[in-house]
Amino acid sequence: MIQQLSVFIENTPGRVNALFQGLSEQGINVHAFTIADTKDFGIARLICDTPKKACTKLRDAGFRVSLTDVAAIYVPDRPGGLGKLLKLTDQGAFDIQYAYCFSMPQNNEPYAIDVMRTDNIKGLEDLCVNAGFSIVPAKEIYKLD
Amino acid sequence: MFFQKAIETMPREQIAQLQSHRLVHQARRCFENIPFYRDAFNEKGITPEDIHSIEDIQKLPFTTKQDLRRAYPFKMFGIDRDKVVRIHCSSGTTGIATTVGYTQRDLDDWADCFARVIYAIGGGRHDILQNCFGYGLFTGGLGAHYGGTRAGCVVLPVSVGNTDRQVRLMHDFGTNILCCTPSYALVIADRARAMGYDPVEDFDISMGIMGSEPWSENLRQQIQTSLGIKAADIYGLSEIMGPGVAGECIAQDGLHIAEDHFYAEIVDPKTLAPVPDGHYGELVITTLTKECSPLLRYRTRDITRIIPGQCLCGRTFRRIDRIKGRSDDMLIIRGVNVFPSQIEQVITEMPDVSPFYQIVLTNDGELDRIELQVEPNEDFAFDEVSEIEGLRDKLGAELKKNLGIKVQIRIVEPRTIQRTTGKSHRIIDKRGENL
Repeated sequence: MIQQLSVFIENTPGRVNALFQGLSEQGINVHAFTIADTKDFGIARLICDTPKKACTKLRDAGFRVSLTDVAAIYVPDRPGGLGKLLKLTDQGAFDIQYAYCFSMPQNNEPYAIDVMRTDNIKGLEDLCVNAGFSIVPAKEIYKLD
Repeated sequence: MFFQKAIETMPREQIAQLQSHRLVHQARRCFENIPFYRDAFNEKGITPEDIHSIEDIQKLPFTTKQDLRRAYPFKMFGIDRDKVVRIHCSSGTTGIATTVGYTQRDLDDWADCFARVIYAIGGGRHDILQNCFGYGLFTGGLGAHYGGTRAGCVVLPVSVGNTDRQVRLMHDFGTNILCCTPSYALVIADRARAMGYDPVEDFDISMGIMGSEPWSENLRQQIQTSLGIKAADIYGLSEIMGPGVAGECIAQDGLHIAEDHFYAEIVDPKTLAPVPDGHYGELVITTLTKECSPLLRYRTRDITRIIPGQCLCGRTFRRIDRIKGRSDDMLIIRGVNVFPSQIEQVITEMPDVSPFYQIVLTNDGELDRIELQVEPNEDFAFDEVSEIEGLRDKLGAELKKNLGIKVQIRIVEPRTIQRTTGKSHRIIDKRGENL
């Protein structure tokens, strides 16, 4: 289980840029970034190296930020890699609210990390481990802060 | 606690006698010294001899803001110029300023009225009173200043602004009483937390005297909780005197009118007929003792009601309810009367949004459109679009229920909405701009 930053972004020019300038000034490295948008606003979701520090700093800079627990699972970076995982979650009847991927090699092998949000993260992780997937440990993603 | 117990707890018949005596005298002063009133009496076919008691007040003419503007600068003064010791002006936000003069006795009476409110909320001698009302032509600053001095407080004349310094002084000096607008009290509380203080634990402050803009009960609760104080509402307007015309006591159940100096009526703003106690209408005030700028039946434009019955605190002065709005602040949206205070009431009941808001009015062809901008609160935990949309829809449904009209809600990022230090400018009316 790792922690993701969810940031409320008003749908006006320059706001995403302002968010990243803020992160950059604090020396925070972002591994993954995705945005869920509507007509008026969006929610930016980020995986970064120091989530707690990023949360505090962004709040100080006037952003509304939440920390959310998500599951992060290694999937082989080749055709059908993610398909196998999704088949598994589907069979386990897990309600996945959203998911996104980023790649990060492991032991020089091409691997992707799939981030998934569900209400039962522990259950999802157990299911994956039993099926031979490995869970991304927090220390791989971030410096412990 | 009473500042002038004999006056503040005077039996009702005695108050009526005092008011009658003073009204007879005041009507004569106005008729004899102010041409505007002489003409107005003549027009109504009355003379000061027709005024025998407070019961006769309805025979007297009304006075409006427009009348005061026409009398600019000194034509409404009812006394020789050499007795005038101070002049204040209204903010003049809606046109020409109106001028109000004071004799020394007028200033003394004003200080008494404000001091009564300090005592009524539990303050008094040696309390440190931090005065963040603006000093100047506006009556708030000097009203609280001399009221605090009269009550025996240690007055810190900080005036408005420089919030970091306000917070530091409040902490370092051990301020007991804070005087400011309700919206500025929130700004101070916000700033104090951002500076790393917990106002409830770290500050000695226990009382607030707040006014000069309408505020809801929820906003009061929020101020009380965030600063750890008991906050009293104070009412006043420069045309009449300044803050202290009416003020709350520890019971926080309406504002006691200083009835030895002011007579209050509530009238229907359209027909000008009196409404029964308990019913809302426009507050009309007659100054019973003012020497320099006496006013008869001044239409304040403030909407309130007389709270029936007697207060638990023992004061016999009648109470007005918190100001619901101004008859000229009232927004007419698609034919529906809306007061900003109603919107504020709904917002402050929603824990997930901050109390700062802005209303933008536009028209979409023939139809008025009202957009409300609010910021999510710091504690609002969200991760999905549906949670923010849910907040927006919940707020929209509450507003629809309370106002009877559909309000477009826009959730904006924190600090988008301007924090004001004085009267909040929360309404932007763009209707008619693109016609």
